[in-house]
Amino acid sequence: MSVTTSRAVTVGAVVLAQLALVVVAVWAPLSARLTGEEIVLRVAPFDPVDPFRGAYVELSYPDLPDSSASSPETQEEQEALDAARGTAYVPLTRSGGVWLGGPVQRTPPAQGLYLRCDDSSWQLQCGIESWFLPQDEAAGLQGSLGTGTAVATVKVDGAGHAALVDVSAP
Amino acid sequence: MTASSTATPSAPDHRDPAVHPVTPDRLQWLEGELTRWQADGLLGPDAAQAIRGRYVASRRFTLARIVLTLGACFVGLGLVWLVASNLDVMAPLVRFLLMVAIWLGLVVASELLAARRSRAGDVASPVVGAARLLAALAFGAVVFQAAQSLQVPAYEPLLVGVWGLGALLWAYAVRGVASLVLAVGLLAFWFVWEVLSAGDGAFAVSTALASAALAMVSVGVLHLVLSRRGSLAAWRSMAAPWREVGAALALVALFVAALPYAWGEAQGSLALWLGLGLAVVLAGACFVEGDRVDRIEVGLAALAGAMTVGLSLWRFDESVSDTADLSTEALARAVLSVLAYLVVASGYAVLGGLRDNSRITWLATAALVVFVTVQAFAVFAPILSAAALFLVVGVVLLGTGVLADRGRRRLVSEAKEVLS
Repeated sequence: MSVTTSRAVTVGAVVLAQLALVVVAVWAPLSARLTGEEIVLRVAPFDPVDPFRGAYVELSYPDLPDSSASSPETQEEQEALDAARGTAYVPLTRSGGVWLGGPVQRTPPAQGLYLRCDDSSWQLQCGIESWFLPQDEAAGLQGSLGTGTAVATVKVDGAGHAALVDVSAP
Repeated sequence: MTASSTATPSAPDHRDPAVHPVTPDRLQWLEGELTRWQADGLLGPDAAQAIRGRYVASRRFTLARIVLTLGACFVGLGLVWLVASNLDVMAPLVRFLLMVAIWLGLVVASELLAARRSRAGDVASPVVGAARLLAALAFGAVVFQAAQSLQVPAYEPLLVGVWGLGALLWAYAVRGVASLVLAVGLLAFWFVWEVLSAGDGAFAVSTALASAALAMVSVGVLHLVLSRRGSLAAWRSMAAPWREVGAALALVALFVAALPYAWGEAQGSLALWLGLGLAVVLAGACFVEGDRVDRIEVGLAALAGAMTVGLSLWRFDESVSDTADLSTEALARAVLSVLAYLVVASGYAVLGGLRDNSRITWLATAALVVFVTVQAFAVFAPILSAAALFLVVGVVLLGTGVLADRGRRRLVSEAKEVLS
């Protein structure tokens, strides 16, 4: 193999590895988009701007459990709760036109759709908290979402990975 | 040339171009030596001409190199911010494919430029390095566009880590030093951000910085160790970014730990302890395999790390938010912080001399000036004027310098006695 060919093979292999890294970085939403089932959740707005990806609307989900809601009575209970925090599974059930989240579980539900989240921080994080869009639209959407009737369309795959597909305010 | 030889190219690698760029000062020195060696009968004219033909004068920081590097940075960051502007005239998938096309185009262009440079033997041209840096930056735009198109939540540190890892692979594939500087910086940024996002407080931040510093210095030194064995001689030039970014992080970590504010519990996430463990293992490998200067360099990063952890563990019973109320314990901590910083910064200045690396010496000098200034105005101001602290530190440095020079003179006189 000539030096030029060897060099081209090396660079080609690195480019493929870099593309694989991109897939790893976005695996959860990519898997959900390609293989997931579409559900609709009620949504409320929150705040905006990521330095690398621009304006976005931070979303909260009134029908998903609140990781900061539980308030244990004793120090021991609080420590036990903090120790258990980490990967959190939220079972989903349909209620009319939208889906509702059940209490957090530490193991994946045996059946039905569920979200694979993380409750280590003050907010339950399920990978669907940011909706990126142009700056002017972000401000507009923020206002229109304030009515409390907005919904998010989310795709959820069999492993609980979720991808935000659309946000709309009727 | 003793330690300075570590900075020069070693035995020519067959994959390297036949002509090596060296600084004009070094080339001038070589010219003088070649003339003397010929006069002494050590070299014939043909051999001298052959040696001279292997090198070409090239300044490290020419106007063209600076402008090209800055231009690559601006265009690369512009691409990333183009992603941030969320061009909704194009579908998310089209935007992603556009970024991939730009990135791949830059990869191909930089390789074509490298092939042309290699054919022409124009080793001093900085255009290839700038194109490679641009390709590494454009890979970041691809990562962020993919994340934006798939609505990955904001402020996700993993994306910076993936960008850094991709840039690292690219840098080693093409042996691009500027790309490696970017990759090392991004990986350090990712590690600290990952630790920060775990929300473990100030102790975790300073310890993460110190761990990253020790790991990076060790990786850089391992490059030198491996290149000396000949198997990876071409990696010698890749050692500097690891070692220099590592040195900067060690000084920043100690700077942060020296601040006299309320420190949290000594808690850390799994990422922090894994990082610290990895750094210790790498440092151990350097101690076993490296030479004396290698051990000094890694030992200095380890010392800075130990002092950083020690100061971070030194907690006060009460929160110190007002420096006007410095307690005796807080004052003792502040004095020890200054002494610790003096030791580490002076150590790096000396290391710069041992390695013939003026960048590390200047880094240590600048860090010491900034540190003493901040401490003078933010900590010692209520009890000692800034002028007094500068005088004390200056006298300590002068005294150390005089003692070091006295030792050097004694060594020289002893050597003369032995020779006579």
